[in-house]
Amino acid sequence: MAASETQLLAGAQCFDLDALAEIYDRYQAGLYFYALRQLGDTALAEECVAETFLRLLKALRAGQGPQDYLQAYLYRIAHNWICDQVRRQPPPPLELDEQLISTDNLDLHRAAEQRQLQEQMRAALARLSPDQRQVVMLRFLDGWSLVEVAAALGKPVGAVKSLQHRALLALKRLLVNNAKGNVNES
Amino acid sequence: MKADFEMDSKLTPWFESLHRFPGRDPDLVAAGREQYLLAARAMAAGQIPLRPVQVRPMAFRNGQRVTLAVLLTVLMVSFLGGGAALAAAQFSLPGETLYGLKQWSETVRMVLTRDTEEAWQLSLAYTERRAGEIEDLAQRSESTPIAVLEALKSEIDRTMQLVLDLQKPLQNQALEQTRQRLELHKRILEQVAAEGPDDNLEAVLVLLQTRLMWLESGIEMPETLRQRLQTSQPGGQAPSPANTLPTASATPALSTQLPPTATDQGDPGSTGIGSPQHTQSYPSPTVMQSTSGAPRSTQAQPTPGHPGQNAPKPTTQDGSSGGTPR
Repeated sequence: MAASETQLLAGAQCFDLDALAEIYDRYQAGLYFYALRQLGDTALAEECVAETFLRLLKALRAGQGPQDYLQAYLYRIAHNWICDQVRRQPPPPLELDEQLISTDNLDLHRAAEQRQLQEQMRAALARLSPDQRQVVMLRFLDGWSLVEVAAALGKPVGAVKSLQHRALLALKRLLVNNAKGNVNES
Repeated sequence: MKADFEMDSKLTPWFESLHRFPGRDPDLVAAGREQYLLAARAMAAGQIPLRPVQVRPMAFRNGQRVTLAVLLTVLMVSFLGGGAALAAAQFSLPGETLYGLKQWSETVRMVLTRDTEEAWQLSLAYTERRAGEIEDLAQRSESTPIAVLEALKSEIDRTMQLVLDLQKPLQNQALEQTRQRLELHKRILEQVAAEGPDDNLEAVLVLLQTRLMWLESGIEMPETLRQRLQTSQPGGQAPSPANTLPTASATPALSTQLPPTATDQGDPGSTGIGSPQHTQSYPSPTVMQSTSGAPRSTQAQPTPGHPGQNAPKPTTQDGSSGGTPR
């Protein structure tokens, strides 16, 4: 039977290597894609995972670290690291009227379209506040519940709902309405 | 995707685009896991939990600080119990009142260690302590004191000298283990250095890189490593594994390799760390050298306490700093 998060955390606080390995195996993939979605760079996403777990170890070594909600704690570390990266190197400006790559190959065409949507989404996410961004990522891309997101942000559920509402409105304005405006202009 | 009922369906194409990514390179996953577990093992084996007790240096003039440090140490040892003071000292950092006591306790322990293998393990643990102190100071945005850099250099050299005194095949295993530990600290310090420039930290990285190269070649050619250690010492003498102490005064050569600090240039606003006056404020453990030649005790415990054993209960869920959750 898989160990509970509380059991893993207790083991990690004693530097039990099995518990630490289990923590890594359980959360590394989710953290990787969490970072990759926002950064769009596989090397940076790998670096984010490595840095997140290293910071966890250092916090545990210092007698600090989480007492509960280990997963939320790890995502907060990753989120802070990603925010620093975005601050250092913001994504390119939002360009919704950019022409897709012209090609007869449908797969390539679709791939290019997907890539453009990803870039637009990342650019729009980068314009949200860090908390709004984290709510959107965890709720709609990682499928977390409101309670889980609230634990990750250290905020009440009501505040998370409010952040989510404002974030979705902002995304709609940045992506959907902006796209309509561009179509009308053309 | 779940729980997206509140999301405008017009946003769906953009959200779905972020679900489509190519698979992850399994070699990178395995390498990342290995690196993480290596770090965990090193911390479990060689590091003591950091700073649950912090005694910040107060802004006294140098002479007053030395006097106060000695007075406080004597008072603590006399009235509060020597064990408690010694335990608290283990968590102190350079510049803090109890740091001298920490150095002194390390010296005593090393002198009392008779077995060469145990002495090597102890020296390796102290090397990791020095590296950990530099990491912690850097994370507090404090410049690395030159005295600590020199202590790190001396301790690394002593570790390597002790490895050379081991018999094969243990010698090769010890060389590799020492190399792995130094490599780990180099990687950690590189990440710390990337967050904020510090000339002294760069000097530490250069030192670690050099010693890593020595260790790598030393696995094949231990005599070459021995010669390098001899020539790196003042006067061309190899460090005495048993009782040579990693003090700043033992390694003047490193000072000439390091960039000047604010204190070297007479910055009045500096903390005094790294200056000759500051070095004075740490009670030097060299007094223990008088026991040179004493046989090593096999009863010594070479490995510092397990992190989990002495770690205090966390006070907050995320009570860490410098990149840990805010």
